[in-house]
Amino acid sequence: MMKYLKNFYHFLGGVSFAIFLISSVTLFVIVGTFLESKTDSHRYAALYTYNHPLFALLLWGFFINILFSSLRRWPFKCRHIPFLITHTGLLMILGGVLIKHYYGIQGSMGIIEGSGSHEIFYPESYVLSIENQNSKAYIDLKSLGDVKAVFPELKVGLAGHTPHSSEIFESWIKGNQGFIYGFPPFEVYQVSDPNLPFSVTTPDWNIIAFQSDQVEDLAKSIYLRHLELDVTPNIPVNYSLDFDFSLVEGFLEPKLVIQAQNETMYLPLYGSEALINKNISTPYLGSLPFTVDLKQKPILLFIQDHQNDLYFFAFGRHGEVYSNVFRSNALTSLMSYDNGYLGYATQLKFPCLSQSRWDKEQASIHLLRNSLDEGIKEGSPLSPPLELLRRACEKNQLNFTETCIAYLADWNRSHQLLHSKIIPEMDWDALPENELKTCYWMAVLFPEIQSHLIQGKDFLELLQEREWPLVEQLQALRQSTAPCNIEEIGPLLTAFTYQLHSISAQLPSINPSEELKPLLFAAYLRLYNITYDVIQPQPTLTSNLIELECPLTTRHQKETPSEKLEDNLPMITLALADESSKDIRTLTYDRYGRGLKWPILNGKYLLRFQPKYISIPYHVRLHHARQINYSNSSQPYSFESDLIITDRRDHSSVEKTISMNHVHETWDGYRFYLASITPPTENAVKQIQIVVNHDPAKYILTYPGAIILTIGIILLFWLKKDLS
Amino acid sequence: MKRFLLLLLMIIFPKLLPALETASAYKGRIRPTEAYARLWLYDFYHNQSIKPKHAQAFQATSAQELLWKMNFLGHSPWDKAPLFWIHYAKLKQILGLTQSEDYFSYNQLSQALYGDKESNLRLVKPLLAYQFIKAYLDPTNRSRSEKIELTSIAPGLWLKWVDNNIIVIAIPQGVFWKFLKPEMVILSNAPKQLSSYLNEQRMITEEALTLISLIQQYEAIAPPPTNALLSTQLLPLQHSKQSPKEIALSLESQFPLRERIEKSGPLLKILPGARGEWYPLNALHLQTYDAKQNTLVAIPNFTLFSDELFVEIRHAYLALKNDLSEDNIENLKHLLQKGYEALEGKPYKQATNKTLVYPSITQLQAEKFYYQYPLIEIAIVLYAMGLVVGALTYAKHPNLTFTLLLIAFVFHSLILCLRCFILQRPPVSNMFETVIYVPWIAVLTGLLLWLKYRNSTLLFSAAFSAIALLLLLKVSYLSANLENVQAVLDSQYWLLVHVLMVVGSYGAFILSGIIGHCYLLSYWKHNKETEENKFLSKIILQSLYFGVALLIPGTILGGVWAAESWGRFWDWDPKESWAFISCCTYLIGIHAYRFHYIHHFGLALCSIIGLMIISFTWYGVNYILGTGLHSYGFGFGGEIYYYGYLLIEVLFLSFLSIPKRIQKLGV
Repeated sequence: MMKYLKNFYHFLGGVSFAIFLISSVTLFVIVGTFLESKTDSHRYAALYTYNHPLFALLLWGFFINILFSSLRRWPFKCRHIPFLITHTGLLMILGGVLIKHYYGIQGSMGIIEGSGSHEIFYPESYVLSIENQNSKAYIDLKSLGDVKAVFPELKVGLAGHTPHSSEIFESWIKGNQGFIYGFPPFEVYQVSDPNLPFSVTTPDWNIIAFQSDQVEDLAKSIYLRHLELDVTPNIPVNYSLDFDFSLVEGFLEPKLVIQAQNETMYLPLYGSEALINKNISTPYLGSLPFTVDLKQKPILLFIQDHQNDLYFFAFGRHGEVYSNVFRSNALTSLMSYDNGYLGYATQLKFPCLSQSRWDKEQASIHLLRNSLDEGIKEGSPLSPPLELLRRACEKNQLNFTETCIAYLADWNRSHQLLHSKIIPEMDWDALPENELKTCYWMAVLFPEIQSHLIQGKDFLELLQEREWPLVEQLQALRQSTAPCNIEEIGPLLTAFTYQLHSISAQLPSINPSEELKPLLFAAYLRLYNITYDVIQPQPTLTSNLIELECPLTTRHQKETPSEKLEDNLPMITLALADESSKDIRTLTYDRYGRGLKWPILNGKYLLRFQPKYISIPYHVRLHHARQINYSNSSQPYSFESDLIITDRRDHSSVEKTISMNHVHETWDGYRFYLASITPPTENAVKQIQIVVNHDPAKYILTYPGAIILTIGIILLFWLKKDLS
Repeated sequence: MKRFLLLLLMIIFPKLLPALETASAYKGRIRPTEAYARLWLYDFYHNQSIKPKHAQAFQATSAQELLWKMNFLGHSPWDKAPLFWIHYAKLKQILGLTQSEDYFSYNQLSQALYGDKESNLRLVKPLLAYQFIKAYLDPTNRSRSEKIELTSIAPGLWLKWVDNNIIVIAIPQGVFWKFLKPEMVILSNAPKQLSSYLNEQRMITEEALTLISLIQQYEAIAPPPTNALLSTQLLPLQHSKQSPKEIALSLESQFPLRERIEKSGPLLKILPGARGEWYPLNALHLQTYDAKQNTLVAIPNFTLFSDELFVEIRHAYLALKNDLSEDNIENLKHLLQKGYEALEGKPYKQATNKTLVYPSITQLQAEKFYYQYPLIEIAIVLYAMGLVVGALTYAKHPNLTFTLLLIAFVFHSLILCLRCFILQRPPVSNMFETVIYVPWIAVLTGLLLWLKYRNSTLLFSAAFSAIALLLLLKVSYLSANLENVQAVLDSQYWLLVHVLMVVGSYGAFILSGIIGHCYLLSYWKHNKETEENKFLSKIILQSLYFGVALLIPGTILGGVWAAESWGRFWDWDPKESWAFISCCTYLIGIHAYRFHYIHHFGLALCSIIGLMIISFTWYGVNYILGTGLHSYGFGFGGEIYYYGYLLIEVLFLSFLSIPKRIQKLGV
């Protein structure tokens, strides 16, 4: 028996066992590196090799083999010295690594500039963080019963788990119901064809929700369904809706295009100019002779597509529209109630869209009136045509501001290049001669030009026929070829007016007939480029924002786990109970433990599935972090962080700058290493990751072992002969 | 040390030392303008100098000449010159370019890239599909969003999945995207295995992105900026009777001077400014508003040069702009040198524990020298000479071979010293440098062992390993350029010692491996163990010892360094794992030999198997295991050659060792 034992002892310390061990470990490691390369996952490789029990067994075999091989040489002789030194060194390193593994600390700490922390987390650990208003605990998933020690009345059971999942925030629409605080839940209709004559009745509060991928078409058909046009005077019109909606940015330039009596106008539906009637067939003539107002049933519309992006639309009672896009999992706002114990909410703000076209126009006139009044009060000079009007009003005891505005507004509606109405008698003789002459010429020419233009003809042709000498200069001004682009007519007319004025001295005189006189004032205004369109101010009417709020919840979805285990986010379902109530809660792993903590059991506790955090005796505050680049490049030269490290036991502080490869070590062996700084941009607030570690055996075993091993190898190879 | 090196250079190459050189900043380093011009040209042209057949089209004969001319004339005179090198056949096919050609002009490429709708879409569609799928599969896309903005290459460009197709939703401005339309299908019927699609498309995508970026760089090259906008803005301001102070403020807010200086040109960043920034030469053409004179004046000094010198430089610049003559360039360069002399050796960027200083003119000269002469080729020729002469005369004059190889070795050392001197760090920070360093150690070991054992195989093996590895450098695509070291490697003394030791051990192992081959060949020839062979195996053992004595402590030192820097001694990272595997391989061999499990033959076999393992640790870990998502740019078929080497080695071993066994059985 002793013989067998002795043989076994010699086998364990023998070289054949050593060669067997080295070869098997080598094979294991080779397989490990190829697994890691194939799956791009260190954890996957580790699962089958480095962390495998068999591998650990081989390592322990190593330990025993080296130990026994040394003991076997007892009693030691001089020639054994190099051998013993080498193998003692190896044992010390192995021992050092094992002690670090079981008793050392190795964790990560994330800090944002200006903040601090004294907790580090173990990246590959899975714990449940449970807290109530008084206490907090991390419970290992494998020993959920431990929760009793901190929360005696709480029971936690693992009801299910999957290796990989995703977590999606749900806000306004959850399943087939919509939620807004203060309203009863509303139904969500599943629609695949937007043109379906659906029998959807909008409820009294005009909130309606759909699940559909036909976002724009659906919104459009809802909009058109309740749209009514109010045309003054009452003439038949055709209209078409251009929603101009982008799935990314929402409304761009939505508008309603209206055609009647050979004229076209459009109403912008969004933005500061919304609902204003825009003449696009004859913009040079001011407004069209009819106005259009919209009547709409005010509606809030939610459409969620199958990718969980949510589109919010608001339609005002006057037809104005507003939209907002909520990308899935990108929250625009987050509110927490009682630090999360009463849950979370997200918010939506939108204008109440209550102003009509009339409101806006009145506001504009009001603003114009005020500025004219103020100008006169301060005695600032008016432009000559307005000064002429002011003097005429004074003479006739009329209110200048009112007269002026009424005249301009009237002209704007008259659909004429030159308005033929004048209230007070003007003192035309006060005008410089050339200006008066120009006005007469305009009074003669413009009505003719207007009739030409209305027929869709090019007025430059008319000028050419009349042998207007400067027609070429006008031709040069325009970009398109004949007939004139409608947009260009206004500027061309203005240019023509200036031409008239500049060569008026050469023009033959015109008989100042009474017929022309009513047109003179409008011509004079045009000469100074004063029309209603030009001087009309754009008031910015602020309207109150309406705020809606909805409860924020999450939905968890099982995913196919990736071979790259580091990317997987496990999901657990927990059954929870205390004395009075029960709860079921599903949680997806929160990789950094920084996300929301979810309330359970009616808000008595908060719960999060996260890595394990432990406290260290130092509080680390990040004062400033920076990336220094090489000249004229974005290649980093150095990463640095200024830290204030406070010992929590005696409250002494040191300020220290750590950089990559330049660590800080405290007197009791805690080391702080800068692992990363994000983002790299200069002006953003930085977040850093610090690796914190504590190795009790480093200076006793590992490093001396390394030195001893090195000496041993050299002795073993080159001194043995001399010793023997 | 510097003086000594310069002296050494002067002695060896008295006439070759370049004339004084100006400094300029390029890709984060301060380099001689000559080196900058060569690297700049290489990016487009894949050659550091202009080929004689293209000299006429380029209107220049050297990279520097082209650079200076383009700086003043902008890119348009060269739009028809074949400046762009495209080698990748698939890219040429997509762009509709002639397959047999490798050089293309800007006009050809811009037409193909965004002039022609078909070729544009052929390129853009797979490019976008690749980026979209990559973003879709990225772990940061936690909720598996199916609508993604391609922020990295085209902010504002949104794509989405519809069933199995990728469809455009929103398109930003930009010439490359002008043919895209909303709802356009980018990729129909995407393959099931998205990650293998990515692997297939990675190469073409990277090539296309490189080309696009080069074209954009080229388009940015413009003549010196005019001051017309500034003067047109100034006139109304002066007429509106604003005070000079108000005018100055208004102009500065519209045209911030700093921005104008920085954007005055992409080329020739040759004017040193504060905080280590370098400004383009063309900034000298700018004018600024002077409140005292109430008019535009030439830009005042914004450089680190003295004010008097700055004025001189500006005059020289303007003279050069009017007349692009050789004399005017020389004159300007001379003044720039004069200015730089005051800066050399001074710090310009301070970080904790380290500082960057302006390189000395000697360093700049050395760098210019490095780029101007084919140093590696010369080293190869010297080694080859040693090998050939040795083969012919070793029997009679062994010392002659030794002397020749010593000369080659000194020259080889000089290349390493040159790199050390220019970059101020040991030459082991990238693959290129290690491929110079490893044969150096092999030759060093060979020469030292020769002094002790006087065996010809040592010298031949050393020379052979040097020639083989240096030739490998020439045929590989490794960049020979002098660049900054990565921040993570720019570190302590111990890291350097660790790398020098571990990589050095490869040299010793390569030597022992080659001698191992010699042993086996000789064994096969004589069919038995000769005295000569026993002697060879002794040498093999010694060089194995030397290698292991470097490798094991070096690897452990790496562990110590990792423990100091990252707090973990060992983590089974692939490089660590393979260092461990190499250690184990040699340990098995040494244990087996010392305990008489194997003999001379086994040791030689072990040195060859060890060589295969070491080659994998050195090359395979970076280039084969690294072939995941995070390493592109390696091995244009490099793996094939490597597998070829392994196969030949295995065949060699089986050919030589199997007959021996059969023979033994027969006995």
